[in-house]
Amino acid sequence: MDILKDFPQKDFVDQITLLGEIREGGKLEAVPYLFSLMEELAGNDAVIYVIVNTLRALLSMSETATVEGIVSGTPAVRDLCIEVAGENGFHQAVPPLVRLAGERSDVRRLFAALSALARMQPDEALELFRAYMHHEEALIASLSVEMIGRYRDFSARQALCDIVSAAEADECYEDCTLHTAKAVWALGELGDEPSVAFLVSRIHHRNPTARRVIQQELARLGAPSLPYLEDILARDDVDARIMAANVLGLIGTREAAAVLVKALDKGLAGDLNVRFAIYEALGTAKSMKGLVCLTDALRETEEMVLMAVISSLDGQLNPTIADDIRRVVLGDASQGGRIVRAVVASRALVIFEALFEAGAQVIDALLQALGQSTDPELREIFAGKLEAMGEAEAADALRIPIPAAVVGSWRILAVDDSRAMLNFYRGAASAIGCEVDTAGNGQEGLERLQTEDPYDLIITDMNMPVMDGIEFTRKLRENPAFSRTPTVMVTTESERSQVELARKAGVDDFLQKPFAAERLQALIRRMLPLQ
Amino acid sequence: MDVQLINPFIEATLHVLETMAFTKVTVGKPFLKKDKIARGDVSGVIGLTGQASGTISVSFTEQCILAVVSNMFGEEMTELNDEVQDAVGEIANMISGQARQKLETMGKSLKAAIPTVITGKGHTITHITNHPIMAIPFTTDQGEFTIEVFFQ
Repeated sequence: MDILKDFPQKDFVDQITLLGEIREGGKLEAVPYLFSLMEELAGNDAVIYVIVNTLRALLSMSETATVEGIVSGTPAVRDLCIEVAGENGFHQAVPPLVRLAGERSDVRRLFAALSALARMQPDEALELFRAYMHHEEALIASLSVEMIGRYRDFSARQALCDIVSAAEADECYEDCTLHTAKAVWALGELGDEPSVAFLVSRIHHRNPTARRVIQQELARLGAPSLPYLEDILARDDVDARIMAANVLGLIGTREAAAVLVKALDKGLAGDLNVRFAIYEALGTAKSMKGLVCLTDALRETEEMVLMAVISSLDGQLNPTIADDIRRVVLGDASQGGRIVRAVVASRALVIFEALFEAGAQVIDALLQALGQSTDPELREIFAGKLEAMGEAEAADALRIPIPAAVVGSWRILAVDDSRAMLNFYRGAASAIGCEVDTAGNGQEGLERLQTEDPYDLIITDMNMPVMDGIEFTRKLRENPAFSRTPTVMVTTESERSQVELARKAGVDDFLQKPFAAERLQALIRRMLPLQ
Repeated sequence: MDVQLINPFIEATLHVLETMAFTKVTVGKPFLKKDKIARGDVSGVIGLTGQASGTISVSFTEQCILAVVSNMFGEEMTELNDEVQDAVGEIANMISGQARQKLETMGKSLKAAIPTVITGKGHTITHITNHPIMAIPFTTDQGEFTIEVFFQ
């Protein structure tokens, strides 16, 4: 090709102009010359850069030239053509790419070849991805696992399961690698019965992040996971049952609610923590039967559990249920008192309004419960509600500032993803004169710590979305300002390694769920002895 | 986030540090972060918009960045001064630029905002997202640094 004659001797501006013309003119015949220039001018980065761009444009128009380039002896040409083949989906390139990827050569080139194949997803490449699922290079192994999911290669199911299980080993369970996360995802893509059954069996995976990814995947799968979650609810493992209830709440369908209801009907929720989780899940997985169960659960006497019931009912109240609640409150004085307190503590504004129709006695009880609260935020929320209901006088009464002696001098931060639990902490701690701030997960907790005044005590849950309690404590302890703040972890976990992990992260004490307000108060008094 | 989309960031990082700062870098195992906070002594953060939106951050330990910048400038740096901070912004810019170029050929066109540099011993940066964040640890002879990427 004449115009490329003496190209290396030309000056840079001429070189660029020339390449521009070739590119504009789509002169495919220039490709072989440009290939040889890539070798000849190697090291001259500026010109190579322009040549690569020119070649990219030309090659995208010629599948044949690209395929030829893949087997070129010049590494730079080969790498470029591998990329171009993948970008443009050149299927003729599949055989040489498969051959190249099978050679176990240079890691970068291997990844490039696999990436190109990943974009085309030809049948011939599946064998390769299967072979590289355990490659020592994390990115290659992760890509291969991801592709097993895309191909929906059921024959590799066991290998995927093994990856997820292996991540629970003592020496590596503290981190959730991309490889593990991709294996969970791939099993979700397979979505067949054994895969789903396996994911459900690992619902309480030792690594908190992996646990979250598994839960998300099960929630995404929805219907197929229901029978397996139902099985879990019938087992002995309390932690797994709680997780199963959480996932059912995330799935949030009527069918999910049916599974929760069935567990209650069969008497599988004897454990208070399991019951708590089921009631809370029924707040998002809604159904008529679920509503009936929640209404029945108004008989619960444990304060914490009752708050979960009230919170879930508050989001789906209808006139019949409202009647039922009023009937229970009026029918049994001591249970009525518990419900009234739970309504206030849970900030269940809809039920609150409904109870206002239950007569003077109930109204008095509600206002009394409100009056006893020393939580300024709670008082303000209900004051606003009362105002909107036309009860200006009661609203004003709530807005009268509480004398300083009653408002707590101790500041507590409660971190939990359950709204019911947060309200419980708020109620129990403010009753003994503590001021309580709340955060929905570890991440929010850290933000609170950075923006608010110092806290005297931190109470945190273990399993939370976004950032779990263990990681939260670890981060907290890394900061010199909070390295000594007493920190209590509330947990239902029975697994020893998790508690060990938490202790290593810097948790001072544990509080086993469920517990009554008195136990929390006793713990606060013990941890903050100067009060 | 597809594995293929992570690679451009790794390649760009290796390339930038090897060519600009003559620093040999080893890539660690990418992992999913348990939280959304980046931690380091100095970080460069760049917002990404376009066909996808997200952020990329590069967080260095003090020891590591001082060595890198010393190599880049050919003179010994001993403290996290303005020059070092500028260099971090520039490194973040170059990594994001090269990675974006690569992503564009893969059919994902992204625009980058101006980098922000944050300095402070053990500071934290929060990525605002509900998506999982990918962290890629790197080691050099002089210490570690981390790249965190997410886009949605």
